[in-house]
Amino acid sequence: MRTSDVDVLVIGAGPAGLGAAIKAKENGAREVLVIERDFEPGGILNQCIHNGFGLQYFSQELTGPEYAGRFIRKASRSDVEIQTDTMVLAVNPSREVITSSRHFGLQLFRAKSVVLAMGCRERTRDAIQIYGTRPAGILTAGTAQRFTNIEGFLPGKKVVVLGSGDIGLIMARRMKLEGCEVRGVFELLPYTNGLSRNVVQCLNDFSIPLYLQETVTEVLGKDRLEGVKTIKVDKKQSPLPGTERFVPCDTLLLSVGLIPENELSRKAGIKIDPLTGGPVVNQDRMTNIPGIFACGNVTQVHDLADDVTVESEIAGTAAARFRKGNLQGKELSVEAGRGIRYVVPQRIDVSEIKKENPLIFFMRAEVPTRQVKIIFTQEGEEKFGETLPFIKPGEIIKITISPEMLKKFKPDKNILVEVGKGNNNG
Amino acid sequence: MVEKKLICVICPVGCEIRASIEGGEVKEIRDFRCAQGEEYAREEFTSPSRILTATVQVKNSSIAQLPVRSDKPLPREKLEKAMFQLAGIIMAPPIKEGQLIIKDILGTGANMVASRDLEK
Amino acid sequence: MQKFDVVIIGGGVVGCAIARELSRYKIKVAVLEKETELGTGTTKANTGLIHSGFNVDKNTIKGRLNLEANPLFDRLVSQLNIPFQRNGSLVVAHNREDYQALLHSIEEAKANGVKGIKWLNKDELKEKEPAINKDSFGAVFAPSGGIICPFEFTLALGQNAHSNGVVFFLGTEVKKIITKEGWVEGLETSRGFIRVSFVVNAAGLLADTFGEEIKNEGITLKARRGQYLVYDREYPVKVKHTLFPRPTEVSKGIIVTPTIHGNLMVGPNAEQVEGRDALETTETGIKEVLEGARKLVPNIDTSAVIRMFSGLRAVANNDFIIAPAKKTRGLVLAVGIQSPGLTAAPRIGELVAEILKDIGLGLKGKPDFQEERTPLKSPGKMNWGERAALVEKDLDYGQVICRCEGITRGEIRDAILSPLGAVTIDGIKRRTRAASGRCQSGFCGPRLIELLKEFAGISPFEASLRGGETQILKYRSKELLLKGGENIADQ
Repeated sequence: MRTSDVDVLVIGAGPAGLGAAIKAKENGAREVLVIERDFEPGGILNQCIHNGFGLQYFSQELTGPEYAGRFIRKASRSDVEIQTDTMVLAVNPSREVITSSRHFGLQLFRAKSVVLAMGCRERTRDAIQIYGTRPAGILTAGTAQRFTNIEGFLPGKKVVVLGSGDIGLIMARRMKLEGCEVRGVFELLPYTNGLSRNVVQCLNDFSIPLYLQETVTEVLGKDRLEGVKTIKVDKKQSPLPGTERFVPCDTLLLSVGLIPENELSRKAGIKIDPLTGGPVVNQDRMTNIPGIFACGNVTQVHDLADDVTVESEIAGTAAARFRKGNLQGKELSVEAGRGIRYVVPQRIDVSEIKKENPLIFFMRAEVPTRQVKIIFTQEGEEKFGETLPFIKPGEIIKITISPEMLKKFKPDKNILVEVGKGNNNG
Repeated sequence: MVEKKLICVICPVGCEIRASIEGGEVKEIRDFRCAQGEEYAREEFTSPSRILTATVQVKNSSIAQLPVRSDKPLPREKLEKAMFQLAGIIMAPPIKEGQLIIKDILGTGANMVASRDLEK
Repeated sequence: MQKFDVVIIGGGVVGCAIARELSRYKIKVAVLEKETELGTGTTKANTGLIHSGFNVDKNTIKGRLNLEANPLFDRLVSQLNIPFQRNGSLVVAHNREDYQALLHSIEEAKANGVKGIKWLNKDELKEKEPAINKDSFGAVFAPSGGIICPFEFTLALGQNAHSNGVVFFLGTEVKKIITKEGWVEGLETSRGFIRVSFVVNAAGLLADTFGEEIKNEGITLKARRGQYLVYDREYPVKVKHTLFPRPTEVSKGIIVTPTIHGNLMVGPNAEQVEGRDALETTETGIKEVLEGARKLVPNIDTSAVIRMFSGLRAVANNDFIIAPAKKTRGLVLAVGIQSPGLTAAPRIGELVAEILKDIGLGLKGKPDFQEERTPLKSPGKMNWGERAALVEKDLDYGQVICRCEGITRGEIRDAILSPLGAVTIDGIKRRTRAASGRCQSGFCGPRLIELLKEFAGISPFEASLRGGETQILKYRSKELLLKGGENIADQ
């Protein structure tokens, strides 16, 4: 097996991996190698042909391929090596990485630091238990997106979308623009999980109906999908008898959630946060294994590629600076409290806080709420608070704490992040 | 005079902005919370427009579809018509991001351009 | 078409076991299978258990064959080169009444020759299987119970038969058995007439559909449906043994078991259904399965389900029918093969050969019979050194196509190109496990379609889940627009 040493090995050449690799290079890492399983770099952005990327990071509205293209070209200018069509088979806690490829066979890389940037995958029909037969015509929205936008095929022409996450909304529009009939987007919850912009521009613009609190319970059709059975649900998501209906269609696209892809991480012994589905990381995006970092959708499922980039730059910078034998400092944990589903980072390494840098916390709300104060407490005492006009589960909350404000925190007490009392549920 | 309303998509707040419209002009606009929201709503009420993103067929390439976009927004009602124009196009690599695919599509003044590099 | 000595109708586990057995002899044998792949009927939706024979009635055919067949597996799997594990069965007692009934069965099982069977008390049970319901009273431990992949088993039998000269006609439907003066003369099929002297009906759920000759035998089959749930291999709830509740008169009950590939699986329930293709899962059925499973392992939930499916068993009466037909000479029946059909299959093969001999087929052994089947290569099971060496020799084993299960281009290529190769996505899946992981083909689906084209010449529009009308792709991008968009969609 060919064996080589590298400074930073990045797994995945999507926006997270490329962002991390470029930053690692900028911060002094010499050999930076990115391993990508697909035929070309860019990750899922290659199939996300719609616009809406880059508004925050580049202050310009780009399509997915354009956003990826900027990083691909920059990586190439920065002398970052990308090995495509290569799969990582294993990572161990000593940062040895085994890869397999049709061009190079099996290779062993010994890395000073590793950045995990494998992204996420989609939940499937079976994961959410839709009963019925097993006909052709049931696909995840992302798979349909790849077929339509890259491979040049359509799975059918009468489409029902289940789930109002962004991919579901975007695929509803995409299928409509391709000449399909889109019968509607069904959503179990009383609100959409996608960005408001996508509801307006993907559904309203094309008069595609959005059915909130209505879900697909069963599929029909022996060989080919012939239709779906739907039912309305109440606030507790319990089905309302008598509201069943049959919606004829030949294609069902599922946009029912994304799951960080952490099989490699788990096997490497990396601790996973059950709330995010991603590794528990500190403010540098370092996992519990020294020298192994994680960023992008493998850490938490982001709404915006721009946020992935922000996170990847943190991880890439830290990965370049990490030196073998670097001992972890004392860490305190950051926990999600009332009204908050999760917080990233989950740990703060006190000794590593750069006094000149602010800390950015990513979090998700449990329910849509207007006029809320998000508070950070230690031992029940409020240390920091920020009031937001509106929060909802579908849109990630980012809170930046400045170095001055950070001084108010005790260095040895865990932090709880919660929604202040007395907020209106909205 | 007609009353119209829309959900602002500028930020997650999602303000429901209302306006009185007469002869295609906004006479009065209310319930916005910021200047960007007002600007967005004014345009959305009178002449909504969108960037069109789609694909065109590509031959002799590692991929079958090339992503394309309009270089500026098109009137919303022309999006579906524009798709019929794209349906007949066949490209071949090499292609550069920004390369012209259709000039002045449907007389809108917007060009359809490639939205990625494609070497092969 | 050529003339055969024996035609077996049905390429399920029973048909393939019979084919392999007959391939030992100097006769011309063919298998006719309606579907484009083997093992797609009752065989595919199976629990995958090799039953110990605990609790069988040895006066029934199914009971006797179960007892006789179980010990054959060690040798058989080493010949066929397929994974098999005697993980042991635990028949769990929930109360004193169960306990007494089970104690009685232990004695019977011992008398029937079931090896190593013994009672485990509550603590011993808990130690053997920590996930077990802590209210359990104890369990019968039958170490000879095992797990196998039903499809791999069937395919291996089929491939071995094939390499010993059996001809397989896939995608070939039998319409009618043709007789002349009370003797089998041939078969009317979707590919024309086939002349044959002896016919074995191993057609599972369709065994009573081949015309008058079958009707005359007075066989009525009913379909019994069982539903299942399969879990992600990373699901923390795990069992080592196959756990059964105390069996009832009609069924072995809802089981909790590991599969040979390391997934947790639960099921089946048992429901009489109308028709022969009611293969859906239902809310009631899945709930019943979960409730049953939770009696054995209370922590089981639905958080890591990767697949729900249902299977149909052909039930004739309470027993298998393996016998010469009463009214038609040259016809042998192997029908009503419900549980434990998978276990009994090797013995069914032998028994059918004996029956054929009895009714006049001359069986002379082939000196060149090859009992070994060469397995497909499996880089995922090798150590790093072996794997690196394999990839160096053949780089196709270096490209991972299915990321969930780590299946390579080389393995998929082999699955398509090997004898009785895969022609559908499900066919690739069953042979290699590609697409059977947690993403259920979300990522590798497009790649599998390309590989079916590359190695089998199947166009992307013909690529299907399992043949029939199950094609995955319907149009080219822009095709609907070019045809007039909405107008097309409205038709």
